[in-house]
Amino acid sequence: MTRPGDPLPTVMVVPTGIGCEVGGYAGDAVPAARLLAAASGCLITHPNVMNGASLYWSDPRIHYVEGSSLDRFAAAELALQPVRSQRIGLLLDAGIEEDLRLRHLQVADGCRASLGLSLGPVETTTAPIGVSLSQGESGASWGQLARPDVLLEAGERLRDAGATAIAVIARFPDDPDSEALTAYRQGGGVDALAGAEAVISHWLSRQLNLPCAHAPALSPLEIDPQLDPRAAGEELGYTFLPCVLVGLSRAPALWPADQAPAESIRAEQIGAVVAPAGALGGAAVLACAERGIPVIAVENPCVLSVTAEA
Amino acid sequence: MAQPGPLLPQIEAELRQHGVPLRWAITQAVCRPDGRRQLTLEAMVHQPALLV
Repeated sequence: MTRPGDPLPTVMVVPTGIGCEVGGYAGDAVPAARLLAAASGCLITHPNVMNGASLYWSDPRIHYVEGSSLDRFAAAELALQPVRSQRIGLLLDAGIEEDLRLRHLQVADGCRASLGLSLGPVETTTAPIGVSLSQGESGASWGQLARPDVLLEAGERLRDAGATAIAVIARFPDDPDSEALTAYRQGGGVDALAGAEAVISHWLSRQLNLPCAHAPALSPLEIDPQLDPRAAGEELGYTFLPCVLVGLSRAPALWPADQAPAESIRAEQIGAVVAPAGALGGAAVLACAERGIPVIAVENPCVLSVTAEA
Repeated sequence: MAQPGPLLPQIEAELRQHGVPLRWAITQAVCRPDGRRQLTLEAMVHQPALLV
């Protein structure tokens, strides 16, 4: 029985890599997430909403759940156990150059020293993961991994060494002169990296049942005087890692729904799902809709037009 | 072509023919003149057999 004033667990989805006007850039859906968290008292959302590279927002009412785990939560396969902290393992791609690797390790050091995060073991893949980028006919971004096996093996080593959450840093292809990147930095088009990022974290989280999130390793870009404020979070530092570490530091533990501790958040408690009106064809929204959970479709233009009417 | 009833099991069954689904989305939905819904999916699947 829900009483007035009780938290109403609410799921917020802004699919990654589809060019959403809000949430298609660097943590630019955080203000909306904060508002929904304040209104609902309990917001379950995913890294694409919360990750702003060097910028982040930590709120105990916001539960940071990787996309495929969010899908499984919405389908009542998983329950979410809020925890005080996670011990985050760092998974580094062997394809990262030494200087760039050091930058990431120093971010981890900084988060440990300045934020007090619990950062655990560090593992490097035995071979480069081999990330490549692609775009679907719809315009959505996607990506492929040449070696998902080495990614999974490194994740297993982290888990066996005591990590309870995993931050993955994979080398992404630099393409500083591409039209897509220029458009993205200036506030148009689709985030070309996002689709591959989602594939990486989905693969690992689904295999290991641990909270996972990803930060791409890229060479720094030349300054762009036309930079859109929504993309600016990604240009404040050398890495995209701080938001991932902060998000994972209090990410809920993932449990099979039938084995979860009593205090866990369960799909049966979801009061509503909030998603862009043109992107209602994802697994989490469909799972909620098919179980009778109200879907709040928000005007938020993107490259898709999969509406409730369709 | 979508059949009557819940969509999720239909989509998952379709994708499993190609591999283990990692990420997918309906990217287009069209209602045909005969009343049936035609869905376009984009997906990334894992195909272990392709690993070298």
